[in-house]
Amino acid sequence: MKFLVLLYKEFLQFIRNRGLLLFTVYAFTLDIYLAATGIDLTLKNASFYAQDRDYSFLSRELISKFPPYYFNFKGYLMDDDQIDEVLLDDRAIGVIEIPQKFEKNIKEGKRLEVGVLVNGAEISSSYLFSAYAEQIIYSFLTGNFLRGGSWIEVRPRIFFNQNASSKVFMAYSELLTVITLFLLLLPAAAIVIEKERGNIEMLLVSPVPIEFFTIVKVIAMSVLVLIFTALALFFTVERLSGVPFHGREVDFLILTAAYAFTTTGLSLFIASISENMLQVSQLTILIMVPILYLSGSWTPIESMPKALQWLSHLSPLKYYINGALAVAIKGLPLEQVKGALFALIGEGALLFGLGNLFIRIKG
Amino acid sequence: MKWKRVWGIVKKEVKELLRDPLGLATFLMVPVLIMVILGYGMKLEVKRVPFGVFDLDKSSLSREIAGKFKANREYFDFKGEVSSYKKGIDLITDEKIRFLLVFPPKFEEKFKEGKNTRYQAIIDGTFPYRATVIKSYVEGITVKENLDRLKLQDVLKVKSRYWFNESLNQDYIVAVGTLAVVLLISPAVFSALLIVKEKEMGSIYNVYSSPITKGEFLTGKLLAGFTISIPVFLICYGMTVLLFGVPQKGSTLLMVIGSLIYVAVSVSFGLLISNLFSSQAAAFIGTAILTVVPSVLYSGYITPVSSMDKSGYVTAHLIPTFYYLKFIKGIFFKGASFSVLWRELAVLTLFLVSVYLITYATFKKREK
Repeated sequence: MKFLVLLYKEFLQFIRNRGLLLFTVYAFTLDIYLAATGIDLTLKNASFYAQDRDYSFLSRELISKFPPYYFNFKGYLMDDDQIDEVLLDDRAIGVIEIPQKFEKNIKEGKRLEVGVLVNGAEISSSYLFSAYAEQIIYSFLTGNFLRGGSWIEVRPRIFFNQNASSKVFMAYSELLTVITLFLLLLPAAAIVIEKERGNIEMLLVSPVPIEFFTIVKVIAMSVLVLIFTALALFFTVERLSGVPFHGREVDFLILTAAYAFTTTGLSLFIASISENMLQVSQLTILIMVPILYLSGSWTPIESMPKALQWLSHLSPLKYYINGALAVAIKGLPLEQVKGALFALIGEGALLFGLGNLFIRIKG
Repeated sequence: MKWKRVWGIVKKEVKELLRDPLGLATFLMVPVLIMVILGYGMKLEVKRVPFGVFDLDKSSLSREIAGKFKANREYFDFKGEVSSYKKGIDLITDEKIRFLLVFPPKFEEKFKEGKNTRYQAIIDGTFPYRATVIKSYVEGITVKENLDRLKLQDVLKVKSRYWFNESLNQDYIVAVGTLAVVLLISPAVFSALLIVKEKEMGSIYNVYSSPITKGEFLTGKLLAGFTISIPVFLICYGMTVLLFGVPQKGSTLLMVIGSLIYVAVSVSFGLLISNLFSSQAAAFIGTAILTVVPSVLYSGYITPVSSMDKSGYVTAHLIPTFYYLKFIKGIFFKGASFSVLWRELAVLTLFLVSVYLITYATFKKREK
C-alpha cells in the first residue's frame, strides 16, 4: 500500500511537471524523428565538380557514370582557383580531375591518371567519396580499355538492412541515447530535488526508510521510460519515421527493463553524491558520454585501442545496443540475445546494489 | 539600468559556484571529457574488421583472393573458414564476424574459360556506415586484383588526394568541430539552471519584490553565465591548440571575439529555457536535447551541409553552431580575416540579440 501511494505520487508529480512532460514527449518523438531522417552517415547526394581538361565524349561519359542517388554533379570548373573556392567553402565534397588526352590515351591503351580531390573537412563523407569515385572510375576505365577478357566481380550483399539505410540505425541509436539520458537523469533529479527542498530531513523521522523511498522513485521513473519507449517504438520509429521493426516489441522492452536496472543504479550513485541540480546535470553528462562512446556505436569496438576494448565491457549500453539492435533490426527472438540480457541483469545487480549502498551511506 | 545591481547578480552566481566544489569540478570536467572522447574517438575509422570465408571452390584463385584479405592485417582480421553457409550467417548474427566471403563452385573454372566470374561478400548491415565502408574495401580489393592480373596497375591510375595542405588531417577537423559543439552545450546547460533554480527554491520572490528591474536581472544572469563560461572556452581552445595541435592560421583576437559572442549565444539560449520552465530537471533535459542533436547532426560537424536535403539545409541555417563552425574553420584552416568572416559574426550577434529579446519579453516579474 505504502508502495502504491508513493508510486502514485511520483507519477502525478511527473505529469504535473508540464515542462518535463513536454520535453519527454519531444525527446521520444520529434527528436528521434529528426535524428533518423536528417542525417545520413553513408554517402548520399554528395556534391562534386569536375575539372575536365579533355572535354571529349568519353570524359563526359565518365561523369555521367556517377549515380545520382549517391552523387550530385554540380558542374565543370575551369582552373585551380575555382577548385580552391568550392572545396574551401564546403560547397562540394570532391572534384574529379580528368587529364588532357583522356580519350586518346584510353583508345590507344596508354598510361593515364585520373585525380580525385577530396574535401578533407568532412568527417564521414570524405573517405566514402574517394572510395566510391575510385571504384566508378576504375570500372569505367577498364571497361573501355579492354573489350573481352575475364574479370573477377564481387557482389556485396548487405544483410539485415539491404540499402544500408542510415535511417534505421539512427532511429534506434537516438532512441537508445534518449533512454539512457532519461534513465540517468530522472531518478537522480527526483531524489535530489527532495534534498534541495529539505524533504529528505522529514523522511529521516518518518516510518518510511530512505531506501524504500528512493527505490519507489527509481521504479516509477523506469516504468515511465518504458511507457515512452513503447510509444517511441510503435509511433515514432515505425509510423513516423517508417523504420521497420523485425523482432517482437516485447523482447525489446524486456531488454530495456534490464537496461533500466543498470542505468538507474548509476543514477542512484549520482543522487547519492549530489546536493543540487547543477551537480546532477554535470555528473549525468560525465557518466553518459563515456557510456555512449564505449558502447561502440560511434567507433567500432574492434577499432578501439586495446585498453578501451577492455573498458567497453563495462558500458551497459554496449550490451543493450547489441541486444536491442539484434531484436529490432535482425529480428532475433529473446532467446538468441540472452547473453546480452544476462550481462545487463548481472551488471544491473551490481550497479543497483552499489547505488543503493551509496544512498544509504550518503543520503 | 543600475550596473551595481547587475554586478550583484554576477557576483552572487560566481560565489555560489565557487562555494560548490563538486559542482565547479564537474562543470569544468565536462568540456575536458567531451573534448578528449570526441576529439580522439569520433574517427569513424573502420579497421581490424573480423571476417570469415566460406569457400566452395577451394581453387587457387579463391585462395588467392581470400589471401589478399588475410594479408591486410591493418584492416581485416581473419576469424577462420566456415563449413556451411548457415554457419557463416550465424557468425554474422552473433557479431563474431562483420562480413563473410563466399566463393561459389566453379569460381575459377569460369574465369579460366574467359568468362567473368563472381564471388559474394555478405556484410552485416546493422551499422550502416560501417557496412558501406566494408563494402568499399571489398570492392577496392577486387579492383586491385583485376588490375594486377591484367598488368594494368601502372597504366591506369586513379589517385585520391585530400585538398588542403598536408598538415590538415582528419583529427584537426574533428577537434575544431568538437570545440564548436562543446561551446554550445556546456554554457547552455549550465545557464539553463540559472533562473529556474531560483523559481524552484523560492528565492525568485526576492527578485519579484526587490527594486531590481527585469533588464538588470536578466543582464546580470547573462553576464554571470558568460563569465563562468569563459574558463570553459579557454580550456577547450587550449586543448584544441595544445593537445590536438591544430595549427591556427588566422588571428587569435578575432578567434576570441567570435568565440565569446558564440558563448554568449549559448548562455542566452540556456537562459531562455530557464525562464520558460519551472523545474530544473525539465530545463536541463530540454536544453540538452535541443542543443546536442542539432549541433552534432545538423551543423556540418559529422555530415556535410552541402549534401543535406532541403529541410536539413534549412535547419542547418537556423543553428548557431553552423555559423560558428564556418567561422572557426575559416580562422584555423584558411587564415581568413574579419573582412571575410564578418557575416558569420553578424549572424551570431543577431542570434544573441534576438534570443535575449525573446527572454526579456517572456520574463514576467510578478507574483505567481
